[in-house]
Amino acid sequence: MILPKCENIYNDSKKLLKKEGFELLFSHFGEFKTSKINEFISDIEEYLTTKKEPKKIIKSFFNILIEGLQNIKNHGEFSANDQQLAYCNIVSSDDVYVIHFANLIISEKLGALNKAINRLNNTDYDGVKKIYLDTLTNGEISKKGGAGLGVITMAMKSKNKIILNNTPINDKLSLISIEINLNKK
Amino acid sequence: MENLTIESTKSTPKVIGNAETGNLTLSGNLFPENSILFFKPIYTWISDLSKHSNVFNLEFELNYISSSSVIQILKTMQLIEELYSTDKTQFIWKYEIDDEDIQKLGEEFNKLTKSPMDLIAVDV
Repeated sequence: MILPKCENIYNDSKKLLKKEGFELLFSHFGEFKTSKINEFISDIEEYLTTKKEPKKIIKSFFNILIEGLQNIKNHGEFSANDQQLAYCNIVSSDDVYVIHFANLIISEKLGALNKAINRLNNTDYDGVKKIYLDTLTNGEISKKGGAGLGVITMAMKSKNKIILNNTPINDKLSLISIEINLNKK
Repeated sequence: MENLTIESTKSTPKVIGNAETGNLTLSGNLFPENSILFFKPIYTWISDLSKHSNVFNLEFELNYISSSSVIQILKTMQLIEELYSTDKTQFIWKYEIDDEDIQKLGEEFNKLTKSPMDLIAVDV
């Protein structure tokens, strides 16, 4: 019963964010097809423009969103009934935007992802930039064109540590949530 | 040898390749669903043109770029440098005047390639 389990985690994540005092701006649970990604991105761009956020914030936000949503689409695992279950929550407080990207992953791959994120979290901005350039020039490119630059790009644009959470769903799959914080100032 | 034209979408740039002048321009957003597939016809055009011309000018004026496309931009530049002599190639990297990230990305490409590159700030 993957769907109800994932949906419960999604509902709990929204409740927790609200309890922590955040305003929920955008949220979607289910699949992220290209049309949904484009719609999501357009809505957020419009929201940020209406809020008169500085161009730099809009650009960083947009870049984080592209990487996070394409990451879900390109790397999110499918459940047994062929659904690529995922969710994205975007919340705001006075001084920060918080974005959660969640998708299914084969639990065996968690170790490698944890390691990659810890490496980014344990270095400063220049260190992250160095990892970015090393990966750009030497990274192994997947069939979908990625080389692991997505998470590194999110770390560079947010200039904050990435928070990774995971919940086992069954004996093979886990639902991971990547939390990105983008300061408003 | 035919020109190359790909119309822009919300996530992909307008691509114009002029076979007579050897100019290739990409302008707009660059975050296709699959960057390898998007660049495939561009690589083919660059390779085909090298059989007819020895001059190549590559110009980018991009707004949002996904990380997988950054890899393909570098590969495009490297392919041009493989097929054309670097004294016959020219790269132009245009960026919005206050877009530091795109400016810095251009500077990195400049370091990673041998061809002369003009970095031009554009007031949009």
